[in-house]
This record gives sequence, C-alpha cells and structure tokens, in this order.
Amino acid sequence: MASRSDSVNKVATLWAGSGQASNATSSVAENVAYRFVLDRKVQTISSNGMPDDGLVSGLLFVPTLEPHDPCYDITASSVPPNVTRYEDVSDFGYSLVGLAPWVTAECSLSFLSAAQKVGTHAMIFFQPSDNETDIPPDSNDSRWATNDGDKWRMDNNYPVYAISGPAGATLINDLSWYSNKTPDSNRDEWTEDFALQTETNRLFARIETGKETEGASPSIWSFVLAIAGTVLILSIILMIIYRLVLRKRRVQLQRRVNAGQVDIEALALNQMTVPQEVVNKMPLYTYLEINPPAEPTLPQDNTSANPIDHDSGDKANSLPPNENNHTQDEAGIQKPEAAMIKPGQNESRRSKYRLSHTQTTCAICLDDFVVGSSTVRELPCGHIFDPECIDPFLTRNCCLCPLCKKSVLPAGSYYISVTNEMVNREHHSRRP
Amino acid sequence: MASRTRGIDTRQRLMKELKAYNKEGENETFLYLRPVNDEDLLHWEAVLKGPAASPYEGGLWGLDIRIPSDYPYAPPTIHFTTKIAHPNIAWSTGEICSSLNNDWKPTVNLSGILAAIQLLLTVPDPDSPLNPDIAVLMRNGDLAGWESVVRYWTEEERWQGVRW
Repeated sequence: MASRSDSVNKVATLWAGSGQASNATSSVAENVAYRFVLDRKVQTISSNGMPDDGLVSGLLFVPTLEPHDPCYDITASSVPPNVTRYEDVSDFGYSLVGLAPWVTAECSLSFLSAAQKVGTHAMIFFQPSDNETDIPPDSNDSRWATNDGDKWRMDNNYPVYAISGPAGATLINDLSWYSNKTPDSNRDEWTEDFALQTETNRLFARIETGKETEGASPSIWSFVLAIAGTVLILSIILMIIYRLVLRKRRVQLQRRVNAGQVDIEALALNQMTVPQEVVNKMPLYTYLEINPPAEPTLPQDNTSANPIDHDSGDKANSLPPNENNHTQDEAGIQKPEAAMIKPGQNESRRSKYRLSHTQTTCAICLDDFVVGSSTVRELPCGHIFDPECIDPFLTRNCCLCPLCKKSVLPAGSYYISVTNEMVNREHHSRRP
Repeated sequence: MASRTRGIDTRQRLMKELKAYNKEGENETFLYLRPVNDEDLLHWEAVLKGPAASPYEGGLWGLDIRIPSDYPYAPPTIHFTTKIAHPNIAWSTGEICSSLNNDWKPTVNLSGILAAIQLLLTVPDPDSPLNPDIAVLMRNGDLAGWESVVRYWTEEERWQGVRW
C-alpha cells in the first residue's frame, strides 16, 4: 500500500493473494484514506507475465471499450459512468492495473485487448452475477472459459486475477469516487478538503501472490515442520531428563561403591585389579610371629572376630578339630571357631582367634608355611598367602580374595568410574 | 620359589597336585588324573566318572587338560575326548561351556575343576547350549526322552581305556 508522490496521494487498495499478506503487513497497516483488503481471496486465472516475486502493483482503472462495441452496453450496468479511466491515471507515470466485470467471454476479451492497448501491467476481473464473497473459482473453472480456448492467456502478456463478485462491485463503485469526474451533485456533500484530495487521489492496487505452485503447500509444509519441530524438541527434552536421571544414579552408585556398601562381585567388578601401593599397605609379617598388640583386644572384640571366622568356615571345617584349644582362656570365648586352629602348630593361645592362624598352607602354591621363617601377606578378610603368590594375583588378575571372594580394596579406594550398565546390574542385584 | 613379579612356579604346584592325587587314590570324581607323559607337565589327561543318581551314572569319559603357563592364575582348558550327550558340551569337539572358567580362582585345583565338571553333568543348563539337539529335548520338557538319550550315549561311548 502506498503513499506515492505528490501527485498521487495516500489512496490504495490491496489484494493479498495466496495468503502472503495480511492486515499485519506493514504496507497494509499504513495510514491511508482508503483501504480495501482482500486477504487470501484473490484467484490467479492467468499467470502470464507475472513477476517472479508474485508482486503486481499499479493504479487502478477500467479499460475503455470502443463506443460501437456491443459490450459497452452489456457491461454498462456493472461499470459506473464516472469510473476511473485510463485518461485519469495515465498522467501519473505509474504502472496500471485494469479492473473489469466478466459478463460474457466476448466482452472480457474486449476488455483484455483494450487494456493491452494501453499497456496495463495486470488485469482484475470479477463476476457481477456472483454473490459468493469467498475466493473465486480457479483458472480451470468453466466460468472463465472463452471461445478461443486459452489463446487469450497467450495474447495478453500480463497476469490476470479474479476477485469475488461483491468485492469487485464494491471496488469498481469506489473507483468512481476517485476519478476526478465526480458529479457536481455529490460534491455538495463533501468537505472542501476531501474534494481537494479527490483531484489527485487514485486507487492503487497491490497484488501479492506466491508462486503458483506454492499456492496451498506452504501451509501444509509449515504444519509438518511444526509437528516435526515439536517432536524434536520433546525428544530432546526427554533425552536431557533421561541423561540427568542416569547421571544422578551413577553418582549415587559411585558414592555407595566408594563407601564400600556395594557387593563388588555382583557388579562384575571382580576383573578390577589392585594397585601395587594398596597391596603394599596390607600387613606383611613372619608367619606366627604376629602383632602382639592385637592380642589383648581380641577377646573383647568378638563381634569383629566372628564374621571373619565364619567366612573361612568351609575351609576351616575341613581341618581336624583340636581339643587342646578348648582350654583355659578368658571366659565366654570358648566358641566353635576355636576348634579351627590346627593342632601341632605351635601357636600361642593368645592369638588363636585370628583367622590367619587356621591357615597352614598357601592356597595358591600349596606350600606349607614355615613357622618363624615364612613371610605371609594378610588380606583384609584375614586370609594369608605367600606374598609372591598373592601379590601378582591382586595386581594382575582380581581384587577379590581367592578364598572367600571378599574385596581386598578398602572402602573409598575403588578405582572405577560407574557406568550405566553397572547401575542397572546393581539395581537388579538388589531385587530378590 | 619364583620371583615376585613372575608369581609362583607353575610346575612346582602341579607336582604338588599330582602327588596329592596319587596319594588320594580312588575317589568319586575321576578314575585318574595325571600328566600325559613325563616330559610335558602342562598337558594332562583324566577320566571322569559319571555322577551317581543321574542319567550319566556309570559313565566314563576321557578328558584332555591343557594347562596355561601362568596356572593357577589362569584356568586350564579342558575338553572331552569321549563323546558325551550334554546340553553344555559340544558333541563333536568336546568343548565345555565356558561358564566354568568365569568362577576361576587360583585356589581351585585340577581335581576341583573336575568336580565342577561332574557337577555340570547333574545340572545342565539348556538355555546356553553347545549341543542344541540335546538341549531342545530338555527345553521341550521331554525329560524322559532326554534321559534315555543320555543313558544310551553314556553306555555307547563309555571310555574303554585301561587304568594304567
């Protein structure tokens, strides 16, 4: 919509075809004296010579038929006598857009050739008999048929549009108010300002259409795009939530693993090996010449001693019981585990509750420990081995005691990072 | 004793095991368990006894035992040299389901793993079969059919060697 120049002021009409423009379009919203918007109600019936951007604009006029043409009379009822004619717009130097009623095919051809003669840029038809205010029928409709087939589309090298009957009637009527031929009788009713304006005011048509093929498809495509975009965004959100949940579970499990609250074997972590420095920290001592400081505390420390002994039950039970062990000692500690101590080993009574004293043989090399000369490595579970047997195993093979499968790694020293698979495995292992 | 990095002496341990088996004599698990010859201590053979109260009862099967050089840190490789009809033992090669090795610990010895194989005969797992023909009988619930097939092959393929 345009306020164009000094000579043509602020009056415009606009068609936006195929949904390209609406009242929100800046050119439409412009403050003009006259505005007539047909949003999405323009039908292209000939795209011949249409510019690539689908935008056609120009001053509106009604082509003048030859006076002897019978169509002059036939169409007279639809064309007001003082309507804007070519003479009224030719002086302004703008491109032109013709407007004419489609009464009969012959008369329409006359209008087309008359418009062609004065070099119009486009032509707009309406069917006065059509009371439908919706978008007119498309170019294949029989109502636009002419006797020469489609020859007229070729002959006239400009696009032809159609608007609905009522819209066309309104427009052609309004066109008579901006033609500089306003009857004197009507002038009385007008203000002086407005009369002055009509001297130079003309209707300016601006027709925006998309490419023919894009007529209906953009809306479908945008619909599909909107759905695809929604699905994409939803799945991204779900993915992010899922990853956050997984991460939280991993962190929790990592905390529990580090705190030593998890069954390492159930997590299939038994492939984990032990760093040499951790192995080095495990007690290494000569067989049976062991930490005297531990001895006085042990009798009171039944709670910690019992589980250890139970763990070695399968092995210890195979050893013959020793009656001699059921002898004098502090009261209340004559428990079955005392029977595990092998006879003949010259161990002192004070330390007989230590699990290590029930073992006389390295379970890996099957060599007997020699009292006073064998150096043994004691694992946290209490099982003892030759260091040269157990150290390579711990550092190369596995972090579990070969006898009781307890992890030798102290709590908080699991050199692993928890994976999602471990979370799942741990989750299932906790179910009955 | 071997160096600390090398671990223990494999041959020494095997000699100890051999001595123990010779001392133990007759038992329920195997007829014998010994190196194939004096030169190679890493190649053993054994004859497994069928577990009592099972369709394999009374059976004898030859076993070939290959011991890795880092034994006992790594498990021996064992396969049947006598054909046996069992879901988890391949009929043609005598290969045994690898689940046995997953629980390997250096404190297990050769007779221990033979006991594990004997136990496998009594608790077959048809869901991870090496012998699908036998496994399908169990899976379809045809336990009578499975038993008769096992008894037939246990008798038919029985190890025929002589004890020493």
